[in-house]
Amino acid sequence: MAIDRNKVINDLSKLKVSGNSEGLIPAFGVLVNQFPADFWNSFSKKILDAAGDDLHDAAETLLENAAGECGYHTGYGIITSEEFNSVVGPMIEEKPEDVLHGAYGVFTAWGWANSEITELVPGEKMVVRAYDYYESDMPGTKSHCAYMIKGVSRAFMDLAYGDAYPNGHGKFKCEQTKGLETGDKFAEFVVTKA
Amino acid sequence: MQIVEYKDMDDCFDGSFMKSAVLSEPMTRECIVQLGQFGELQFYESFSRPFYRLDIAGKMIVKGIQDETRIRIILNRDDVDANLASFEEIIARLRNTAPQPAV
Repeated sequence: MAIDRNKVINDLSKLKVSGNSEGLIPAFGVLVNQFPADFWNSFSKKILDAAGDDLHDAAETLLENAAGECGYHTGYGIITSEEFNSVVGPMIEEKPEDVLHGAYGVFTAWGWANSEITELVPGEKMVVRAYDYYESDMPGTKSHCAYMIKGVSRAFMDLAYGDAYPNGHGKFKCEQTKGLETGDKFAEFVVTKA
Repeated sequence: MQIVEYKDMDDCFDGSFMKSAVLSEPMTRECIVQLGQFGELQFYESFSRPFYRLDIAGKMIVKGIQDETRIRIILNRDDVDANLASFEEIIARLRNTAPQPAV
């Protein structure tokens, strides 16, 4: 693996992130925003609470799917961005595997989740570990709730091994097998073909 | 310097205010520094491929990599046409003053 993860994180962390006059951050082909983690956690929590027991699984699926959509389109924007090309581009020797490793460097540097790939079988399987992520702070949860990392991870595999963008979405699925929110030392996500 | 062409970007907005342009010559360090007179310039020379970003409040954000001809523009949506015209004016005013290598 040719990606120097620490250098990716260090370099990208230097970039100043600021909103425009509309309070939005235009980047990676989408409009990104910056809210406190508590906002997003309470957003998800309220959806799950409002869904109740009968619709809990469906609400979880929708939250994960929102992250999957975001991860697919924003992820494509990230790996084709000037920032990525500047910092990660020179390290890439093998595509798409090094691109995937670099994408988790970006994911970490910009505060979505301190995460990395621990196992990668090209085109088949990816295992991701996360050591810190905002969803683990969701109040009152007793089960795995890292919907964002789940959705984004399968979307990254879609980008790497699915049909060319924008036609490759939905080819992989992701299961969360460990989580800080359930007392594990790290969270783990296993992505396989759907 | 001139703009040779605009290329569509795969974004969520049909390329309406985020654009990619190809310049007539690479954006040299000298040209990047000149961008600083038009707004707030961030220039990360220590990156493997030096990255620059110019913020012009209320008008646009311009991003690119040193010595490349591709440049990204994110226009303020208030007046896309006027802001695009401003971008073209800026590019036209850039001059590569660095000594050219002998042929």
